Amino acid sequence: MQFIRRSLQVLVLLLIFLVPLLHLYGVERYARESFSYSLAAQRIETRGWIQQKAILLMDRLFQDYEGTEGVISSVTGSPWSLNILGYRISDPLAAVSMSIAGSGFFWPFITSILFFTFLSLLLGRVFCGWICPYHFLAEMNNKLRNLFSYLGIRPHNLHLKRRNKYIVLAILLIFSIIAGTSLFTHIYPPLVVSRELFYYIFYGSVGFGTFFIIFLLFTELTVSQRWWCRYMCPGGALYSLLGSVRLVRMVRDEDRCTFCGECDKACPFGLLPMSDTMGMECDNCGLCRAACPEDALSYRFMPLWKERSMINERKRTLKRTGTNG
Amino acid sequence: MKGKGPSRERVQTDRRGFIKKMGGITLSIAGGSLLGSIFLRYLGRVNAQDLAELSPYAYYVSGPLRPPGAVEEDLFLKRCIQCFLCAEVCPPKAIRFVRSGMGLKANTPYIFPRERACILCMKCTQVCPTQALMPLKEDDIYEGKKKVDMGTAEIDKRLCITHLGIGKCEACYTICPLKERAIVQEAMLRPRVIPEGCVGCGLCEEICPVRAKAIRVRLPGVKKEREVLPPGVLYF
Repeated sequence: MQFIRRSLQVLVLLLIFLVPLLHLYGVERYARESFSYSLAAQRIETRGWIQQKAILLMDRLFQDYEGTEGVISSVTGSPWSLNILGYRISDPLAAVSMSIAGSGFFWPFITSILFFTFLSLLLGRVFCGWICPYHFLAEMNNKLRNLFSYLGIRPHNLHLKRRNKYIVLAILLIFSIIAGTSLFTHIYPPLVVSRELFYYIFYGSVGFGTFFIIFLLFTELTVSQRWWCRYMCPGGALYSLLGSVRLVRMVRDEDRCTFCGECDKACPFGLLPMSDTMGMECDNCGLCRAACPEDALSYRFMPLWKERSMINERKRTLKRTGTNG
Repeated sequence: MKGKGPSRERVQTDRRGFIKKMGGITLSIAGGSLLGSIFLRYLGRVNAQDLAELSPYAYYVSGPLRPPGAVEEDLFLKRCIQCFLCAEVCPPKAIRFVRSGMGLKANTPYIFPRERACILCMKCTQVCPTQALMPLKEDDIYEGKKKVDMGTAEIDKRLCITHLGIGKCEACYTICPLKERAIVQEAMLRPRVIPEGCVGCGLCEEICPVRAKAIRVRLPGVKKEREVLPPGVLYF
């Protein structure tokens, strides 16, 4: 399961890295065919090392191939708004913020968020753990943090309120109404990461977003573990709200659990699977399941009310007998 | 036992200096904002394209030239989700982005025709997910201003080689995709723009050999600078 998740994350990271390179090759092809003098300035010689190598590689790949234009136009964009083989997939936050800023409901775009919306309604906050490119970077960053702890350098760990992200979401939505434009686009990490990569590949320079991402990673390394995803991310808040009614849940088997606490340590969002308090913020990444030495945690098909009644039952048992299970 | 701390007089003089300093800063901020507001009053009236080299901030505030099919500026900012799809499919890489730190317009697309003009392929309008750029076909440019309205080219007779009689250039007429609809040649091969037919792609501005650009794209709704400003002001 972890292998599938990792490969999906790497696939998304490759997508947001390779798609701009593919389109840069399209620009290069256009510059070769046209005779405009100003287009000569953007030829391959003036680009960076990665861009040059990629264009040379794609030259070799598409050497005698007729449908190059079709391949280039088949996939466009990033997880924020993706065009793939004629289908359009967008982030729900984009549609929510755009509609609330006053653009009106534009139905073709609203339908494009259905994929992620239904995925969240069924599986919970899976965008975060399985797709988000920033989550992958932050996980790698967290590994570095664990290495520091192992070496004896204890980074500070500041705890904030978990409800902060819902407040951030509400405040930014209200300010989007006032400003008349979507404000999430400046700080939403999956968009910022993909956009800065695109800026670097296309224009050879990066914007403010890169410093924002570096700031986030540095503070997550030194001040507070995974603070952006746990306490601040407005996109995560929206996915959590959608995922509160999810059908697939991580459920603890009481008979097997030995209360070793490994799952609580493993959770990237700082949730506590051992005490059955996952709530709506679980992203079903399966790290707690992988960490459990007794195989006590497993995915179950379980609606909201069933989980509630199960937890209440366990609490009552705990109160009656003084032991768990 | 005498402490090494600062004496009473020293503290007072320091405080006075601090107050003076803060007063100076406050005054300079107030004066700067006053001058800035006087400057900004004119920004909506003069051509933003001309201001771009002087001050990028003025350019972005007064409204950059948007890609073809763009809805009016307020609605454009509401609709644009800054997904950079339009720039990715642009074959001549004409679409660029407003820099970060330029307020709410940051990361929205614009075209700077002086360096790279739009070729009117209309790929960006077809790929835009939110209709910030209304979908258009390549043939729609023949409808003129009714369908595509990025701006209007305007010839500066004081700079144009042909108008001055120095030589015969014909560059703007040759490059224009809407010959005889948007631009015509009059006596002595002098170019003249027909505002109803011009869509404002800026290919003429890109090709113009005059360094200061004798033909320039003016945004829709921007008055001629000679109507609002005395001659010679903000003119380069």
